[in-house]
Amino acid sequence: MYTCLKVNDFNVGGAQIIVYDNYNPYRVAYQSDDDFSIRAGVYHVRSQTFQFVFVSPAPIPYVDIYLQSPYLSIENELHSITIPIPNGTGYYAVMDFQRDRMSTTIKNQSGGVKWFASLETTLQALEFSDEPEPTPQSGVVVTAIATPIQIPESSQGVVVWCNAKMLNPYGLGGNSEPGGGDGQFVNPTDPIQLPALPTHGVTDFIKLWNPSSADMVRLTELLFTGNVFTQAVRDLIGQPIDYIVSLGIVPVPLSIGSVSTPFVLAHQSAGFNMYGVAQQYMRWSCGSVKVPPYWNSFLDFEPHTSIQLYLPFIGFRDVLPSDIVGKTVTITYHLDVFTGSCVAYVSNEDTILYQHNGTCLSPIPFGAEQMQNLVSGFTGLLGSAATAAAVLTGGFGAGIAKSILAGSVIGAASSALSLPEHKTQHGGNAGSTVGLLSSRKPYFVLNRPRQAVASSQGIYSGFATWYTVESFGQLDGYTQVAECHLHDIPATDWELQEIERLLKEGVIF
Amino acid sequence: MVHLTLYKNLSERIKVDKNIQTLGTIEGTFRGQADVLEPTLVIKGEFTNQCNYFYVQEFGRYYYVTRTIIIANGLLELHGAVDVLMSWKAGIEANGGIVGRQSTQYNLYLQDPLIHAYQNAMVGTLEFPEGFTTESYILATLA
Repeated sequence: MYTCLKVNDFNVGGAQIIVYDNYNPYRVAYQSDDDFSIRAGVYHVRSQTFQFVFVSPAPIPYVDIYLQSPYLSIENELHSITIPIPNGTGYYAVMDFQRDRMSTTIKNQSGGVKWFASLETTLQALEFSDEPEPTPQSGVVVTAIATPIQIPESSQGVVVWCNAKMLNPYGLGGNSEPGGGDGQFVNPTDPIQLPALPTHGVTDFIKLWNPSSADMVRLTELLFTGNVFTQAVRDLIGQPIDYIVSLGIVPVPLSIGSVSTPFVLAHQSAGFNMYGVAQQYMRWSCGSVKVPPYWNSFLDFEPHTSIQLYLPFIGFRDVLPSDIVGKTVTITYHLDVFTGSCVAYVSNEDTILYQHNGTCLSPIPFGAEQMQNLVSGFTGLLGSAATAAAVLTGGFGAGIAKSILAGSVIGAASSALSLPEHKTQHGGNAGSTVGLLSSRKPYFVLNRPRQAVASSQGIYSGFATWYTVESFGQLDGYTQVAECHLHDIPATDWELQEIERLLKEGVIF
Repeated sequence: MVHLTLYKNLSERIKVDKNIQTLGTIEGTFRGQADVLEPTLVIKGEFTNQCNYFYVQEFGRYYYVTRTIIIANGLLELHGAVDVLMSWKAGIEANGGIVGRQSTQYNLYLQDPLIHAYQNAMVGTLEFPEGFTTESYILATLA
């Protein structure tokens, strides 16, 4: 019984394939030349099993093993097995051509399936019945054991050849591909309008009033004396003060009815009228300004110019000069007069670009305990009564202004005159009571560079530009060429290089 | 033997099309080997400090005078270095490319690393026309 092996040509230099005949494992049935130039042919092995050892001096990422049996009339059918081989020594990739391990099928001339095989891709120890393991040689070793199954002796034959390929070791991660450059060039300009005020609030459950100063006096009499509610009423409703949810000051005229209505507490009339607040949510406009460019150059924009926006009841916030300069900016507030929450919308032309929130209600405690709670709670956080009011804003951030790199060469990445950036704090949060004490109108703080341009600087060094010119003869004056590919000048190589160097350093046309 | 045209050049070294005044033509011979790019020529004539530029007809190139050595018997040794800008002016002007700095065609919105600034920046303020000018008491009660 013979097993036939046919080995095709290989094309990897320095590698070898060695075929062992398991009939005598120490008998080398075939050994290729060092340059892996194995000639095609049929090699007979005198056993039902055979091994071939694939040796390479350099790591080979994988080996394709092709099996073909001309005796079974496979024709052009190739059965390849790709085994990833680790980059190292001492490991063996084993192909065990047993019945349940190979998925390759080979049919004989009559069409019947003669050889079932499945690919075993995990590493296995080399399996020998009673043969010693072959000594691994340098590089990577592949050993295969093939056991033909159900192949009639008369048609038995196995053809094996290998193609070894040197792969990109990073190939498992995919190779590079060209891409990009197919942008849609569509810059969306959807106008972002002011949102509508909420439709649901507290007024169905809580009554909002706009007391006058005189009403405030009457309120104290109601809450702290027995002159308004009789004892019988007090016995019925309990303490009137328990029905006060909140009292405070807001910085807007409230939307009130045309006439005042009887003031009631716990459904008990207090005997005097007060104006009720019709709307919990309000919109308040601070108008528009246009921020003109000063230099009308790159100096008007970040990072050379910095702009901070002061928003009443919010504080200082950074804005990008590119959003503001040359644009008409509008500020509109949405306020909740019950909670005191406010949102400032900063619009550029017709689009909201910024939105900041704060607190515009200055609470009035109606008891010593409330006042103590207000102050002590905040001083406990900050350790200072002076800063307590700032905590009423719900946070303790600070607007930060950033001054420009004044005195340096603007745009130079590594100028000897460069100075570190300065971060300047223009103020803390301006919410709640602090807001009442602060400026009530929004304003910009514009920090701009004071340029130092020498007279006739353009003549001596030009100004920045970036465009393609068809012929330099069209230009006049100082010119620095960024890129050029000189042609049609019959000068020597040195001269051409010199011309290019001079053009890039600056010439005068 | 080569044919020289002597000039007085008053233009900037980086000027492509130089403003040159002809002083005269003369013949010269090479001192040693002929270097097209840095020739050394011997001419017969009186020294003049007006001549700082010359043209060699056979080389088709213009040269700066780098050295003038007075040799005896009315001979001058003229050392030159090629002016590639003037020599290849036509070819240079016919070429094109991307311009990075220019004295008359520029865009001030581009970052310019050669623009300096003083240390004392300008600070300005711009106030909005409207604000919060009133105050109101607000009382919230359980109905």
